[in-house]
Amino acid sequence: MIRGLYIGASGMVATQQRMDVISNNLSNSNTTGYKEVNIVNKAYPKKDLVRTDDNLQDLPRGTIDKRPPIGSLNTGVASDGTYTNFRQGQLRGTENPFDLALEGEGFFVVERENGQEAYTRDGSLTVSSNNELVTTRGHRVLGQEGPITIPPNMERISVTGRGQIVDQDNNILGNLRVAQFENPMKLEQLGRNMFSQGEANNLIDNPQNYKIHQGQLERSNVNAIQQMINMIEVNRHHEVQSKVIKQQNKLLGQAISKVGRA
Amino acid sequence: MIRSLFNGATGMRAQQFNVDIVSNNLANVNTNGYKRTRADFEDLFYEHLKVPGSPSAEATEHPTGIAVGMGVRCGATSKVYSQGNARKTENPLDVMIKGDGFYQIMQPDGSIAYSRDGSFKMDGDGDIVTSSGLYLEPQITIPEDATNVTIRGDGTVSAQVPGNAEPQQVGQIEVANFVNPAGLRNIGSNLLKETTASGAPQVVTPGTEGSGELQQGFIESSNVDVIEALTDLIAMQRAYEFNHRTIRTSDKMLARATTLLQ
Repeated sequence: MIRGLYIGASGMVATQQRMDVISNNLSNSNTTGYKEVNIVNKAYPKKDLVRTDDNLQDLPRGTIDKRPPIGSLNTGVASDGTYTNFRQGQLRGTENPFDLALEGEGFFVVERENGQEAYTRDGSLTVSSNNELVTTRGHRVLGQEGPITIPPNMERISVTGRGQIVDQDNNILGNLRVAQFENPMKLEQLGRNMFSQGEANNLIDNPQNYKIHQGQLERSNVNAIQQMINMIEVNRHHEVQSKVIKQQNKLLGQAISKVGRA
Repeated sequence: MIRSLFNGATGMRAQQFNVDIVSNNLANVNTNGYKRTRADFEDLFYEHLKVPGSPSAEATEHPTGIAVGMGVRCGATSKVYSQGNARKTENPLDVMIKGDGFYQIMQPDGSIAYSRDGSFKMDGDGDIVTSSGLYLEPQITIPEDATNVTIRGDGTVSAQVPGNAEPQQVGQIEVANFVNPAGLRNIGSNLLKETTASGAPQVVTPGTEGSGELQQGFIESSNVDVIEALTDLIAMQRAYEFNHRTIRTSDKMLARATTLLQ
């Protein structure tokens, strides 16, 4: 009886977490390079129910469980994990030569405030006051040979599909680094459109399968319709769970007030 | 739960801000030399309820953690310095910069501001001024009785002065270049101010060192693309509604939780 109450409660808590994740996706439906997050639930382990009126039989070496089983019972639900969906977002032209978009796998490499590397799909870049290529949040972009310097008085900047940055006279200013991971699922969200490497997650040497597009940005890959449908589902699921709890409460109330009455 | 409520609120606020930006762009669709502004969004930080790679109960490790995001905010607004369309006016003091560079405008307090608006006028003393009466720097005075004011691509201003067979050079327009024009600060009235992010101005002759040549008799119109702005507005309105729906659903779920005990 009380079990049923807690199973319903576990369902409500899990749907609430699901709602948190959906709401974050929807609020970031316009965030450059944002990747949709999905949450997966898991069932708690099943529990075998046994009759309790047959006692354990004591033997010289240990005990034998002689209680006859009457079946199993599920014990509720919990959130198991969030998975980032790294599906390609739509590319959008911006007419700004410092806007870069990645097609395919991988991330631009930037330097965080604490000097560590972070990874991002948001390629809206600009130049800092000391002529370094930075993100619009001011994080330095790391190329294959470290930070990239953009000299003043440049007529034109071109970025090739493999990330080579050249000026109007084809002088090479630097090579953008694209980081790919053995297990992108292990990347951790840092916020501000950045990811950190996470534990036990190695970089792939010599990454392939990417193309950089200049003058474009990658839109958020949130599928708003899918998220809305998920939200309807969450809402109804939550409603059912609350009904379960209310019903259990009613039954308990009846047990208290009616059982044992003449 | 409360997270999803506030995630929806951050999303609504972000879209509201986006509409503020686009409405200003649309309001300036006919402003000479206006450059459109873009809002860049970023996700807020994440609450890591479970870290990826942490040991699970089944003596394995969790392949992913549970990371719940906290919504969205505007990370930066940046100006898009693409060339606006040329509009023919046949007014000799309408001058357009074909490419990079800014006119230097003397402010009443003696400091220099920068502008792309080349619709110059002549004041009572024959000085070249902006529409609001501020002097062009370096100051150029057209002599009295002069006719046929000619401005060449390299910025030399010449005029036909009575008594001279050949046109006389009366001044030289210079343009200022910035490493990072997106770092300039808007002060309104089509004027911009230098900041540490924009770098120091490099004052050059038009057409040299990466700056654009001048074109007399033309005005650079706003680079706001009305169709793009309007489609953006539609997308923003829908995104606003999605986030509104998130808040309503969260509210319903909260209400359901509070009515569990009746």
